[in-house]
Amino acid sequence: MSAREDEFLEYVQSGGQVETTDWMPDDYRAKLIKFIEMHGNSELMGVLPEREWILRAPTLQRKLALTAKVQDEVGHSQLIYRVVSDLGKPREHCLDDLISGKSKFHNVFHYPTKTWGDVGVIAWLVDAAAIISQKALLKCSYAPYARIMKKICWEESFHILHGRDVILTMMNGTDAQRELVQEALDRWWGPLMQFHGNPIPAEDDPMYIWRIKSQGNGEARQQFLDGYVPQIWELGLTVSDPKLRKNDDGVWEFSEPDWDELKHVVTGHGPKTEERLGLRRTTRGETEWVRRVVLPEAA
Amino acid sequence: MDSRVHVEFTPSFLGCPALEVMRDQMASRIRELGAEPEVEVVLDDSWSTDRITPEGREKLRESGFAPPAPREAGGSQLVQLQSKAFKCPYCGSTETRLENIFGPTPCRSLRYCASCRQPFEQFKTI
Amino acid sequence: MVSTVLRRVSARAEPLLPIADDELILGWRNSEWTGIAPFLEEDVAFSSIAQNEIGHARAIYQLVAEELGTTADELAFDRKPEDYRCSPFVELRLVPDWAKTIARHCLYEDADQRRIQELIEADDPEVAGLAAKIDREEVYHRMHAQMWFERLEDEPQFQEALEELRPLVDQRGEHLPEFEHLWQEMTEVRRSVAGATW
Repeated sequence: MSAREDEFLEYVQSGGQVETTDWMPDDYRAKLIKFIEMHGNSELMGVLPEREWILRAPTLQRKLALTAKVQDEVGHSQLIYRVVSDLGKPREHCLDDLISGKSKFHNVFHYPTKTWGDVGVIAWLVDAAAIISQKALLKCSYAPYARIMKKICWEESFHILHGRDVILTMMNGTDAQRELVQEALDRWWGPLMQFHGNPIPAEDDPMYIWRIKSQGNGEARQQFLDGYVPQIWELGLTVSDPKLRKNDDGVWEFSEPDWDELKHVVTGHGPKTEERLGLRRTTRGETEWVRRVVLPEAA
Repeated sequence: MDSRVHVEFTPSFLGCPALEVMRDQMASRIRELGAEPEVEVVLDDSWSTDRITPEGREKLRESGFAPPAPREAGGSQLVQLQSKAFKCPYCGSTETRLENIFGPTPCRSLRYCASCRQPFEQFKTI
Repeated sequence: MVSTVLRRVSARAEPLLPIADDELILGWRNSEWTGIAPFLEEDVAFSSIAQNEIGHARAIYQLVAEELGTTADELAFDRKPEDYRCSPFVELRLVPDWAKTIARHCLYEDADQRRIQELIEADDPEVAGLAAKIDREEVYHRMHAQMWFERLEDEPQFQEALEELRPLVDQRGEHLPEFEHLWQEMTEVRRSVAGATW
């Protein structure tokens, strides 16, 4: 590392923030692009598990809330890709790499959404897990990303309210509705426990070293369990992990998440990966002519 | 003593997805203060974004949202939305451009500041 | 089911229900673009437009629901397909055809503006007030339609779409076969557990 890079590293590690126009090491820029692009991809792919349920939302209010939530996610991806684009990788390249399977997106968006119960669990718990990661990005060393994260966190907290309300209404409803929720929770628990990633020590995580992230994976998972397991239990739901308990020292114990499944899924082998990327490819092809017509103006 | 509190509130847009959440939060805050709330949602054109107070506009700006242009200035005309009359809430520059009439929620548009290279949201005039 | 009630709608509801049903069904159709539009900006735009339309439908349903002894949700979801009064024009499933989608958007906004204008001048102050609010929001839809009209007007497929769809604008009557499918999907969760709250 050059003296200039050392100085930069020291600067970000002591809490310093970087603007688009500031000098930055190539490795830092590359790590930023990789990390932020994956976030943008995840927001965009996160649309697909929910979009089919927009057409089946059972009340006008649910219809509005779900459309708005999905729209927020597209809006987030738009903002996030803009940040990536300012770092040197245009949005169209990000989208090309996404549909060709070259770049990744979050594990939870590779799974099917089977019932309206899944819609509630996604909006409540997947978003809860996401907001824990995103809150830790408010202190990201790259300032433009940290700034949009403030807005994203604010909107995500609305999604959690919506999700919790969907779940609460069903839990206060009929046995059949409660069953839909429990089955959905059972389906999602594994992916939720894998969500924050392998528990590698923060000091070995390049994203932490550059202070792109400000907390380790294990720490995030503990926060999730601490915040949401008591709520899950309080609603009368059970978690399918027999080892799950909170120790006297306040640390949660749980069965080791299936890391092989996580790796398999995020490398493009999830149950819905191919179908969803296929849908993106098809619709992108079908509307190609529109971009050709508009691009000179839109560019 | 009559401890009922009557609130009339108008959503910026009728399809506001947060309408119920706002209504319920108003009601629960009023209950916390020891009164019985009656929150009525108004469905007409009597409220306008012109009625946002200077303090409210400042709060919007602080949160990264550009406050709405006045109705009278033709704030809802396309030309206006595309003009440089809109200031970046982060750096104050007027070098901003419209990215999308529609933003993340029905009440906002998306703009981009060419000066500090920050996307930001502009409240629509209603 | 509230169908029996609706066979005899009130004088107030008579002109309003077709408008609300149009907004509901078009809102449903437009939300089909969420996630798969040609640009992320258009995902966002069509989602917003869909929300506004559903919001308008809801407000109008609320206005007529009380005197019909029902609720906005029941009007939106619990009628039989044949009791909806929307036009075949809004029932058409146009995804993934962007040219037709924009053609319908332009034609609908134009026709809707005239209809809303009449309501603004209505003697019923509640109807007039709501119509003025709706009109204020529709300004943004018209701007969006106008912007796309200008972008596509030299495209032959857009001109063809306009020609094809224009005669349908004022058509009323029989539902299209694809309306039945939309209704099935729209009410699927709601019908799945009898008597449940969602």
